[in-house]
Amino acid sequence: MNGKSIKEITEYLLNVHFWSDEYDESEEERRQTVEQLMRDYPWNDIFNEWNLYLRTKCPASDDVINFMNLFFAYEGYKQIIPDPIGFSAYLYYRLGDRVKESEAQTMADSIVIPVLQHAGLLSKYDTCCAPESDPRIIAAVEALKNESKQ
Amino acid sequence: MGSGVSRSYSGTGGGSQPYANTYSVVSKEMKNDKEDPDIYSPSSGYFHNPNATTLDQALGDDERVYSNGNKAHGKMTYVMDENNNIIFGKRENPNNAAKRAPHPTLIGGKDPKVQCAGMITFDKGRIVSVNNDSGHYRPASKSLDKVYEALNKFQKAHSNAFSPNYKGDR
Repeated sequence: MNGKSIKEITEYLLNVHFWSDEYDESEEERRQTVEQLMRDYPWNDIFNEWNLYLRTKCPASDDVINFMNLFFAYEGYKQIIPDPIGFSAYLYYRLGDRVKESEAQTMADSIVIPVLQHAGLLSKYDTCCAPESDPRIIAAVEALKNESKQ
Repeated sequence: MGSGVSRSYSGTGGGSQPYANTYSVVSKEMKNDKEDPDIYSPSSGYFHNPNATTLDQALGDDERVYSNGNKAHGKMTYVMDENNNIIFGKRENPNNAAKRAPHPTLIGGKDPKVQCAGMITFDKGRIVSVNNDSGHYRPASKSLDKVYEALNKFQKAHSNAFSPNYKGDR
């Protein structure tokens, strides 16, 4: 990828507002960049950078929602996530009550349900569950909240 | 057990229902829903999802598919009703923000029947894929043929509404 690191490519892919003209104008280029990235690097290495971006460069809940929009557009939800509960819980932890809002809820469901299905933690018929009410997710969110208090 | 192809079927097994022209809600799910006033009312049945819309109605002037005023993005529930309409919508439950609106609410009523049901995936207003993942209806995969036929017809008239990644069959 022209000598660029995963970190540099991640910055390009995720440092854009999903609903912007900038994204629309570069959408095809971004799609090809993701495809090439997936060919050139192991998914776990890519995910680690994307996850790091989420945790270090998304200070506001709006940034988390934007991350989810992009993660979905780049088809990250189709991949096997190393720690599916941890990743999902982090999204809900950061969203807080905003998970009740239309866009946040739709995107969280759109990512978390397939992620948990791929990990064998939900069946293909669990399409209308509310993952934020799953006891495993609730426990992991509580752990994150306790961690942040220390 | 056994429905033939000429009438609705509502089975109770853990997998998909045998192929039928139309399907009722799987009895186990209906039983659970009848105990949940946020989903089912004794007088009117399943509430009607206020986000439900047909693909035709959801098409914008830019030939992209819209949901709640924005280009549709993410996975949403869909059904194909008895009149071949593809109806989809976000899963927000207006009665309880902590719950979701299951597939039958896309039509509403006491025994909403469908030809197929599952999840439809959108990428910023363009259709990417459909499947038959519905826990409430569990349609046989053969029922997807009708959905693909309808989508392929829709694509001929509105190609901009489809992602370059859309595949018109399994």
